[in-house]
Order: sequence, then structure tokens, then C-alpha cells
Amino acid sequence: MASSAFQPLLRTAGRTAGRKVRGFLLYVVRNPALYLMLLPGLFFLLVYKFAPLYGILMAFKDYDIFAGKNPIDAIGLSPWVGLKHFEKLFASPQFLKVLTNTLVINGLKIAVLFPIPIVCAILLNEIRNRFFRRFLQTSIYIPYFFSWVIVFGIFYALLGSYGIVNDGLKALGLGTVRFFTDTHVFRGVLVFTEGWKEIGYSTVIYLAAITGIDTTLYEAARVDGANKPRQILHITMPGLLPTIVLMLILKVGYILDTGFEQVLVFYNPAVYDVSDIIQTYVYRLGMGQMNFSLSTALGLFNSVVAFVLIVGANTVSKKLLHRSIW
Amino acid sequence: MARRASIARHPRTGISSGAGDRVVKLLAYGFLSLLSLLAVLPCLHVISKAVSAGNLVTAGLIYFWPRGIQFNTVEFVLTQTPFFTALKNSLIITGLGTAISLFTTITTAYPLSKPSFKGRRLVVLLYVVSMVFFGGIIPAYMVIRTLGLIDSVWACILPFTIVQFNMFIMKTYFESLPESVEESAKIDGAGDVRTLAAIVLPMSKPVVATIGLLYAITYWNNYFHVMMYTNSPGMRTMQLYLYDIINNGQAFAENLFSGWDTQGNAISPHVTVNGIVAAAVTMSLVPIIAAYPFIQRYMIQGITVGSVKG
Amino acid sequence: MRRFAVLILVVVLSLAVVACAAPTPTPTTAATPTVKPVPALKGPGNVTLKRLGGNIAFDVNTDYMVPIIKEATGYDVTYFSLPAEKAAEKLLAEVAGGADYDVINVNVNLWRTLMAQGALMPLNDLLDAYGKDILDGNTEEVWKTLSDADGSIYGVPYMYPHSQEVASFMAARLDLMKKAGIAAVPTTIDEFYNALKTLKAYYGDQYIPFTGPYKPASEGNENWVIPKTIASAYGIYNDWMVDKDGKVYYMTEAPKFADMIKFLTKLNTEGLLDADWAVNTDSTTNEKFASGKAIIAHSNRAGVQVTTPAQIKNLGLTYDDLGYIGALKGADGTCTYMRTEAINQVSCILKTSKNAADAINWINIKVQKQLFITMGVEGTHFTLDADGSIKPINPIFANERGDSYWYIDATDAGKYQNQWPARIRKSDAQWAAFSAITLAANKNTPNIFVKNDFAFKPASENYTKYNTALFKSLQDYILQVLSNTRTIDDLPAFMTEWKNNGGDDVRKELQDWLDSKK
Repeated sequence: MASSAFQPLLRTAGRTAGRKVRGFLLYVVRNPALYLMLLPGLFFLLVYKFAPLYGILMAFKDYDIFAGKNPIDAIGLSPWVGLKHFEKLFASPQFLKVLTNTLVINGLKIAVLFPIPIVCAILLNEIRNRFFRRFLQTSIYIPYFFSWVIVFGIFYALLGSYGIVNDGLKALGLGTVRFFTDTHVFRGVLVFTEGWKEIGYSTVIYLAAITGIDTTLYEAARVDGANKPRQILHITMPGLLPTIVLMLILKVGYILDTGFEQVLVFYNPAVYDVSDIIQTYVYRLGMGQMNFSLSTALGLFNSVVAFVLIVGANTVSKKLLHRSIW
Repeated sequence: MARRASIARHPRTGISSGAGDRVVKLLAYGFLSLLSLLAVLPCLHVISKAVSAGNLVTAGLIYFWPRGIQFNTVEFVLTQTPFFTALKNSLIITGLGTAISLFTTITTAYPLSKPSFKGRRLVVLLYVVSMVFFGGIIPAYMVIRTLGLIDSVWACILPFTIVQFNMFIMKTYFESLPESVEESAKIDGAGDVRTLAAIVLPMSKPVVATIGLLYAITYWNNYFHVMMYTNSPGMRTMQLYLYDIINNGQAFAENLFSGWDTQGNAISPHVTVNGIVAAAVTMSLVPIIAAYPFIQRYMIQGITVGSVKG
Repeated sequence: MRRFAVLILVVVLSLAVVACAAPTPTPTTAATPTVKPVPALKGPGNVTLKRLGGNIAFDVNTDYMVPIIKEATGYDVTYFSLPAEKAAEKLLAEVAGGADYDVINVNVNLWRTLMAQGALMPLNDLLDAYGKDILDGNTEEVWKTLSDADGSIYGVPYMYPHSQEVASFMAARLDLMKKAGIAAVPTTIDEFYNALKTLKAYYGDQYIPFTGPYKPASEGNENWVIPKTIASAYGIYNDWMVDKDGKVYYMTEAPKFADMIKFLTKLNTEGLLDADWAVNTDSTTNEKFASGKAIIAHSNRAGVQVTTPAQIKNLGLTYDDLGYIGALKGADGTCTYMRTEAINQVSCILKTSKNAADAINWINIKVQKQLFITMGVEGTHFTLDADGSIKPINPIFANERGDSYWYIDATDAGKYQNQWPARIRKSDAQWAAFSAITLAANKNTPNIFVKNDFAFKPASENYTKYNTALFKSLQDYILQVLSNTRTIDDLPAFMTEWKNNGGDDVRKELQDWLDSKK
């Protein structure tokens, strides 16, 4: 072992540490395949994920893409401005409002939409007719393939002031609902369309998790005379729990960082008050400027929040549910 | 909790359990049918627009059923726009990318799913960090450029070699597999690679199919990276193509709808801006609808085995 | 755990720095510009040029225009087009990273950015040597716009092909207006208002009296959210204007801006406007007009091209049932509409290009053969009227020259101004509106056209940086007025925000430039 050469040093560091390293190396030598397996992924991580992290420096500089021989060189040569971009972001009188909007809209989406794919997956699993199940599964996941521009076109035809739904409401004498310009209902439109587009995708994930549940458990429950609701409650739900926790942790973690494309396509100046989120605000602020520094600063802020939330949520989950994603 | 208590109070008779089963079944058919209707109607809207008379499409008078059926618009999209180039590129990138991603995801998730694996926490943390932090598009672009991958299929694949989220799903699934199976393989003298290939993967068909599907969707739907990392019109994928179509309504209107013959009659009255968009979107869905049942077969396989037994 | 996470972060970050710094070779001193002889032509057949143009939905390398241009110029060219979204970011990353395009055709804003960053090659010598026709085809004023302070030219212009087009107007259903007792197309703002009132009184909720705006869904464009033909009645014709004393002011500071906002508010509160004005895009506005739901619609040439054929089929209308409302006169009889004389697109050459001479030569040949490339052959694609104007032959003109506009880098502007109307004439719908609005205004009321003082303003830092966002927030404010979420009382608040976002900085720049011209 190479570590023997450092024995004197290690002695002060504590014998346990030395034992740990030695134990680790021993484990590596015994299980080389497991570590070799990790290499392709780690190579990707280093090259494509970690190397570009150098770009985070842009958040603290006035990045001028032409400052150097190439855009990377330019990062180093651009002038350091410290927290200028963060100040611009946070000091703006609008910031509190757009932060609130972001939290409320994405919070609503989690609260309303998070359970639906779970229910969908459990219920889909109860459909015995193979053809019907395939039809259901295909149909609910198709909307995921529409880009937001198309989704907007579809829902404008349905929910516009002169759209199908309002024609119906008018015919019933119920008046007109201004789905896209009424500040009271617009967030509802965002949540609904998000659900419409995304539910099928998440359902697929839970379906896979259900297949991982040990089938002998159901057998035993059947023998015990447990009916479907009880099987779902006592076998399926606990079996799904790790996936649910994982999904929830990530959803909560990205609470500041989602919804941009949708809001950008759906909102309009009449509903800025309730729908302008951080990213759309920064988008308009930097329109035509190609301000890479400002967007990097925003990205870094979102990342730090996401990191804290994910680590925090994971800790909570470990304490309460004894589940961790790592 | 209260619910569990109330169920427990019921005598374990066939009738009560049958009633519960029926409620679940009713819910399943009712709820899912409603959901699927909600999903299907807007799709019908787009498809109907693709094959309806142009004048009605322009006027927004097509709802959930086509009127004045014509296929000129679809023909236009297939012959006058680079639909097939986009289709070919998307299929190549999706196929190759999904295979590569599945391989790296499985080989990463498997070691990390072993509780005894030393260094597990460190590696997982690296993936969590890489999932959250992003250096921005310029440095990522320069990585691709430095590697000489600009304008190649590989540039569109590299960014999703591992989607951390998918890897965690895979890892969670591997963790849920009964350890006894692997233990017996170990006793038989199988190494890690063989255990993974011969024991774990066959048991994981549904999740491999699902993650494969998620990757396929990611590659198919990817706009941003393909846009940044490719330049040639010949490298355009389906998403870029669709955005081009949507973005060029004005150009279509000014240039393509001007076919008036010497008598002043409109030559192709059915081809309209909104019709072109609808037809392009519809045609882009065809491969997805065609491929999904095949993937589903594997996803359902696991479920059927489970439900037959359960 | 937390300390561990921080440690990881630090390690990872420093790793990243090392990884990135490693492949970067040692910096070399920037090449000093020296007087170089004009590079020689390699000539057609010896070089394949690379040309990047704007976003488009057809395959620019397989289009029928490719062999036509090859036949006309002899050059082999590979074409590229920008993506539909984030085009500017992508182009900057590419150029900064060492792109090897020979010709880049972009809009003026993007060209300004590239030029300001020093990414472009000065073209004076090349133009003198190989670009005679390009130089002669454009005015001194235009070349000055494309030059820096030292007189170096950094791009060649594709001028907007009509100097006085009323591009943003309103299309109207004359049949419904006549039925309601409105005899003539409104020409003043009061007539317009009364017409809307009459329509509302006569039809109630059966129709939307007035729908709009006509604006593409993609953001970042400079489309107005109200027809310019309404603003014309309030002396408003541009975001930046100049008063009698030569002082620069913003649209919101125009004497009658408040009047215009009050007018729009009035239309809105009296139910004369589409309730979804803030939501509409060009396509939904078209839908409402083409389906017969709306009586008057904000539109443009592309708009009527879409709506007219549909109205003829859906509603059994004829061209006599359609009217077009041009620039409206104000209560005091004034009417102002901005001249459209401007640089449409700029083609530029990167500092690093190795084929610059051939690129300019290629563009020059295209200008020489402009008629053949953009319009085709007389007798085959078009005939000539007695007055020399081009009458296209359909459908071959549309089929074989319809896409030519994408391949234009520069024009002989004077000639193209006369050739271009053929592109509108190939379509009855467009030609009907164009004759009724633009040709009529040029003939009958040419005095409504006012000069855009800033059409030929060279690139400047603050304008490039702030103006797009400022314009967007102004349009948002107007849309908020049109949807009852803001009123004229919010104007001071808007102006404070406007100043915070660089409004005064842009003003100063424009004022300085204006003063320097005197």
C-alpha cells in the first residue's frame, strides 16, 4: 500500500483515518468493476458539467464576450464588478413581487399537480383491459410533446374571450370569464395547462416504480383478504414512497427555476401583476442586451437556492421518512 | 390514519373487499377516461386543423373535428419544407443518444445503488451538484467547440449522456430490488458485471424501458442544445424545424400564399399559415404515437407479471 | 454533511478552473492593423463561400434559388440560417468562438453589436476594388451610417424596398359598415370613433367592432401594439422624435401622447375594442377578422394576404366588401406617418474571413444581376407595363422567385425600389391593400410622410443596450391601458421606471448625434 510511506504523517491524523483510507482502497481493489462502471459517467460530468462551471465567474464580472481571443479567455479578461449584477437584481423594486409570483405559481403547481400523476399511475395499474390501458397511457402523455407555443394556441381557441368555453358560458347566461386577462383566474390557467402538458410524463415515472414493487407482497395481502384500497394504501404507496420523495425533493428544489417558457408564452401585460416571475422579469430587463452576466447571476442565485432546498429537503426526508437520495 | 382504522373495523368478508375493489375500478376508469379526454381533445384540435379547408382554419372555425378535408397542407409540409431532414436527424440523435445514455446511466446507477459501495455519498453528491449548478451556455458551447463537436450528432448527445434525475430514478429502482437475488448470484461466483447483465437488468426491464423512454423524450424534445451546437440546415432536428415553421408565419404569408393563376384564382387555397403549423406539428407526432406502444410493451410487461401474481 | 458539501463545491469549482484554463494556449498579442494590399480574387470555382442569413423555414441549400445564384455568379456557396430563438446569443458565441462564415446577413441591431465589438472587417478597399455596383447603388448617407467615426465601412446595406410605405393599417368590412349606415371609409380620428360607435350601437355584441393588435407572437420584435395609423392622428410616428427646436423626445413625451392614451381608454371602456387586445397575436387577430367575428382589424400586407382569401370563401365577400383605413387625421387636421426609408438588413464580413474579396465580388455580381435573381426573366416570370413597372406572371413568378428575398445581401436601391412592388403585385389581396393605402397616400397626401431623424444613425452604445427593452416596456404600458390595468395617471410612474432603465442615456446619445450633424 502506498499509504505506508506516509505513516508518520498519518499517525498524527489519527489511526482511524488511515484505516478508513486503507479500507477504501482495499474495497476498490476487490471491486474494480464497480469503479470502472462509474468512469463514463464521471468523464461526462467532468467535461460537460464541471468544466463549464468556470463560467459562474461571469456573474461577478461585466462579461464582454469579445474581450479575449475566445469566449472563455474573455471571462478572465472581463472586468470584475463584484455583486453589481446581484444588486441590480435584488435592489429592483419589482424583485419582491416577481419572487412572490414565482413562489406562488410554482407552489400552486406543486400543491395541485404533484399528487395527480401518482393517482394516475396507481389507477392505470388497475385497468385490466390491455388495449384500453395502452390507449389511456398514450393519450395522456401526448400533450408533453407540444411546445408551449402550440399549447397556447390550443388553449386560446378554448379559453379566449371569444373562445369555445366562453361561447358555452354565454349560451348558459353565465357571462364571460377573461381567462387570460383576469388577474384572479390567470394563475389557474397556468396551473391547469401545466398539468395538462406534464401529467403524462410524471405518470410514466411512477408506473415504472410500481413495477418495482415485490409482487409477493400483493399475494400475501390477497391471502389476508385485503381489498384493493388497502393494498394500495399498505403496499403500493409505501413502495412508491422513495420515488415520491425523490420527485418532491426535486420539485421543491427547482421552485425558483421552472415555468419560464410557459409563462413567457401565456402571460401578457394585463396580468403581469400576478404572473411576472423572476425569469420573465429578467428576460424583459435584459431584452436586446445579451447580458450574459445578469443571466448568469440569476442562474447562480437560483442554483444556490435549489441546492439549499434540495439538501434541506433531503435532510428532512431522512429524519422523517428515513429516505435519502444519497 | 383514521382511514386505516375504519377499514380495519370492517369484517374481512368477500363483500366488503369486493366493494372496495369496485370503487377503485370505477375511479380508475372514470378518472382516467376524463383525463384522457382532456388530453385527446386538444390533440384532435391540432390534427383537425392540419387536414381541414384552409379558409376555415384561418378563421379559427375548426374545433375537434375536421371540416372540408384536404391533404394539400400535409403534402405541402412533407414536400416543400425540410420535414424529412428533420425527421431523419431526430431519429438518429434520439436512437443513438438513448442507447448511450441508457448505458452510462445503468453503469452509474448500479454501483451507487449498493449500500456498501464505498465513495457512494461523494459520487452522488457530485451528481447532485452538477444537477443544480450550471456554468452557462457560453462555457458549455466552448467545451463542445474545443472538443471539435460543433455541427455533429455527438454535440446533440453529449449534454444528456446522463440526466441526473433519470439516474436517481434508476438507482432508486435498483435499491428496491430484493438483495437476496444478487446475493445468490454472488455465491455462484458471478462478478459485478455479470450480476448486472444477467440478473439485475432482466429484472429491471420496466424501469430500463421507462428511463429509455424518458431519454428518448429528452432527445426528441431538445431544442436549445441542438440550436446552439449545430449550424448546418442539414443538421436541423424536428424541434428546430417546428420552431422555424412557427416563426416564419409572416414569410409564409407574404411568399407562399401568392399562387394566383392568370385568371386570378387562388391556386392552393387550402395551404394557410395556421394550417402549415398544425400539419407540421401533427406529422411530428406520428413517430411518437407509432413508437410508444412498442416501448409500452416492456413497461407493461412488468406490471402484468405483478398483477397476475398479485 | 454541510461542511462536506461546501468542500465538494470548492474542489469542483477549482477543478473546473483548472480544466478550463488548461487547453487555452498562451495569449498572443493582437495582430496590429497594417496597411495591406487589397487581397486578390481567388475566383469562382476556387472557393466555396459560406453565407449566414436570418431564420427561415425552408432548406436554404436545396432551394431553387441556389442554382439560380450559382448560374448568375459562378460561385459555389454554402448557406446557413440563424435559429428561430436566441439567434443573437448564438451568433455572438459563434463569432467570438471563431466562426468562419464569409458573409453574415443580419438586422441592423445585431450588426451594430458585432461592429461595436470589433468583430468585423473594414470594407472600403474591397468595395473600391470589387464592389463598384454596390457602392453606386446606395446613397452617401447610407454609407455614412455603415461607417465608423474614421470612415471605415463595416457592412453593405439591403435597403427597405419602399421609402414611403404605410405598412401598419386597418382592414375593414365595408359590407357590415354600409349596413350600419356608414357610407365611407373613415379618414379622421373622429370619423373612426363615430364609425365604431355606430357599429357597436347597430350590432351590439354580435361583432367585435375593432380587433388587434397585429403583432407576431415572438417577443423582442419592434411591432406596435396599436396601428400606427391611429397614432398618426396624434402626431406620433416613432418611439424617438425631434421637435421644432431640434430637441429629442420620447413617444410618451409627445404633446398629444396623453390624448392618445385617453382615446384608447375611451375605446376600451365603451366596449369598442377586442377584450383580448392584450392577448392577441397576428394569428388570433387574423382569425377574428377572417371568421367574420370582427368588423375592423389591425393588419398589414401579410395579414390581408391571410385573411382576404378566407373571407372570400367563408363569408362570400368580394373585394368591394373590403376597405382599408390608412393614416387617420387628427382633430386639428394633422396627420403624420414616418417614412420607411431605412436599412433593412446589413451584410458584413468577419475580420477573420479568408475569402473577403470573393465575398464582395460575389455580392457585387448579385447586384449587377439583381433583376434576374430577384425577379426573373422578362417574358417568363414577368412582363413590363407601359410605364416600366413589373407585372409578375403567376404562378411561375411565385414558384421560382418567391424565396429570392432571403438571398439578397445588397441592392441597387434605386432600381430595387421600382422592381420590388412586383412581389406585392403577385397577390391580389396584398396589392388591393397596398394600392388603397400606400399608393394612394403617396399620390394624394404625400405631405403626411415625415422623416425618421434616426433612420441613418450609426451604432451607439446605450441605444443598442437599452432601446429594445425600453420600447417593450412602452408597448406593455399601452397594452395595460388597453386592458384597464393602467391609466394615463400611471404615466409619471412609467417615466420614472423608464429613466431608471436608461431612457435618458439613450436620449442624450441621440441628441448628441443630432447636434453633431449640424
